[in-house]
Amino acid sequence: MKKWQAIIAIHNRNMKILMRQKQMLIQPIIVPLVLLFLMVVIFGGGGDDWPVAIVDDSNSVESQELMEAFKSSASNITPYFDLIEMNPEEAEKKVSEGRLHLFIKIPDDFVESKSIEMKTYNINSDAMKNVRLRVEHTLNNYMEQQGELQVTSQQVTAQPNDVWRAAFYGGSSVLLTLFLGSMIIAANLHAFEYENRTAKEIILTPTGSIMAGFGIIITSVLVSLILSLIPLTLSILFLHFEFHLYNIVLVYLSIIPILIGCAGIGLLLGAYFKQYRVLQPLVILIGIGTYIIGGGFAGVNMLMPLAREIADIWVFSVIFEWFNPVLHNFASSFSFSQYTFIFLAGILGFLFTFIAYWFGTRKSIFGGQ
Amino acid sequence: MFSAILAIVRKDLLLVIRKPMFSIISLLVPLIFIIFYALVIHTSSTNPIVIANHSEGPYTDRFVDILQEIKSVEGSYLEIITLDSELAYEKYNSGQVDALLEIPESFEENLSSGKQTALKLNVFNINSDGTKNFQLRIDHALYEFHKNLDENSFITIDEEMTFSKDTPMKSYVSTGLLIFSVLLTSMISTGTLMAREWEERTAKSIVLTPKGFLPLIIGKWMTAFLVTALSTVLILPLLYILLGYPIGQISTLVWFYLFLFFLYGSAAGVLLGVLFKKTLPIVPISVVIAMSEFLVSSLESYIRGFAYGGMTEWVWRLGSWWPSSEIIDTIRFTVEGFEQIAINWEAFFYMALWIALLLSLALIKLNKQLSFTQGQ
Repeated sequence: MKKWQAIIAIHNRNMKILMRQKQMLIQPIIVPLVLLFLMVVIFGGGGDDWPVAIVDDSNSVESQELMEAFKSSASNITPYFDLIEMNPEEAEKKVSEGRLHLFIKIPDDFVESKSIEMKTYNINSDAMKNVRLRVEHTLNNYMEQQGELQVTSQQVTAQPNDVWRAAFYGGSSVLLTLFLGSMIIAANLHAFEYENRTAKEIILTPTGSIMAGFGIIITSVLVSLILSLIPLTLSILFLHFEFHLYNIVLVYLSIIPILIGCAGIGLLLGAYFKQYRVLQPLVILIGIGTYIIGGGFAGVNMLMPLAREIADIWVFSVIFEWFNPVLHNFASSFSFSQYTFIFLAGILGFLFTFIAYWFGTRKSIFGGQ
Repeated sequence: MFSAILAIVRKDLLLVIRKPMFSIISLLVPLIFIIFYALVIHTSSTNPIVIANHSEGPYTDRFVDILQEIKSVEGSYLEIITLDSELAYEKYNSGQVDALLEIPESFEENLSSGKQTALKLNVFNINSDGTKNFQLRIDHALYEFHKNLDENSFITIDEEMTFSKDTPMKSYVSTGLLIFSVLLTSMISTGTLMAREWEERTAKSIVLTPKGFLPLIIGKWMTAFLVTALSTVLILPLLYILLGYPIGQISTLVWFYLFLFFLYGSAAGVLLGVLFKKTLPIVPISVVIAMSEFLVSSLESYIRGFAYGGMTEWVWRLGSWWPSSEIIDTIRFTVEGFEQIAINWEAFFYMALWIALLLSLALIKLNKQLSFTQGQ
């Protein structure tokens, strides 16, 4: 009973520390949110429509049909082109300044020449891939309508609707807040004892210092769960994130042992490095690195072979690879082996806590104490 | 004055030698970030796919060849993991790959007899970006296939490019990564060196010295410069090896611009240090500033072409007004060999103004807070 009281007391103290030292909450809030905002804005959160200029100099039946093909060309979520300029002089100017990447001209001899003209601002290969392949896709569609395309492709998707890339980034941001939050809050709270010279009191407590570790785990998991509601709400409101109550509850319940594991790692790092300035870059790097190569930015299956191999051994990638499909309703449960791993992650979290405090009790305390 | 600066530098370097962990981590953070980015940038060019080929014959062979050959300046459009039908289904159904292309048994026969035939592209559509990429790549392969199949009905494209060649995305991004690393290292180093004086209760004696604040700031900058220079020396070969960045093209003026970014990072670091007096918020804020410069300023010339409406246009407008964008593009075009570098005086002026503003704010803050508590 006394031990439980100690754990709850430490948890209450931690909550007060977090309320007073709000900078401890900056990292788990700001890092995922800024990453989400920039990813959505820069990598096309709005959809697949690419601004273009198109001018029809032919004005023939065929050219008008081609214009229609450009207008109706679409991905699974939005049209492929956003026709924003039809004045040739303005279009030339905008492409030469880089304000547009693509200017398509259907020449007056289109019917005879069977060719179109294209002016590009080829700033990089990614922009050019996007514009050139869209044009070819449209030409294929046009030829198909004319009955001149002998081989076509039919797309069959795993789910009726695509998850918008903005919603995918949103889901990843929720998961990043959860695991980064729990790890960094635990690390900071442990380092707090050293930075604020209270480590001695914790170590010399008659109930055993490990209770402080359990208190930190409770705080870290609870606070990260609460903080993750920020990106979740924003994703639902603004990023086409479809709300599946059962899936979200399942994710939030199933991820708790992993968050305990992450908090345990945070405690270990806190015990070893002791200072915020060393801990923070390390934990943020683990978080952003996992987001990038562990399936937060794009699924691991889409990465290059070396990255896939790294993701296979980088255990944190399971957070995105297992939880994103459930979050977006591509899976309705976890497999037995996944549940076993999740359970083990929680056990490891407690084990790491023991190790972290075992380290602490074996060293003498300096720094004014 | 000079001896005071040297004393500060000597003290900080001694601390680095005695407790090297933070400096090592400061050096490792941008290095590891670049390695991560190098691993993920590949997704913009190459997408892994499996092919279940049920057909045999010259048309099929030609089409499969095209699937293997299609590429951009950066690399192949598709990484074909297997052409074995059984393995292809197994990998797709077990979730090891996100796309499966089925070439039907009737493919060869239909083409030989002039009939239309359809391929089936199965996609795990958890991210619309991936779905779009697979669709466009298969369409590109079909476009190339029809080029040889029926020249009369085929619509050709005459393209006029603004630049003589496409800059590979990984090379385009490398300039931004270099700036990111200079900014992050200089900001974190200077910021934490400043905040450390308050955290270790040595600020009073340093701030109240009759020599004024200048030796403190210049001393911190000099130590941060050594750390940033070492970090840059480590990062350049990494950019060359991982992303093919043409480091041989870096001229004196590019070095000058990099130094300007060091001053920017250091001025921001000094301000963060005196503002917070704790290292706790400095690291995440520095990461956010450096990431924003990387994603907004360094990609401005890319975003410009599609920033119409909404937040994207606002972010682009912010990036286009910000002096970093023009300077980064000048560095980029020089390194890629598109144009001879000349100092962009306007961008230089605004950047110098920004650095001066950051520094002035830091000095004002230092002047205002000369009372000390907590046993000091």
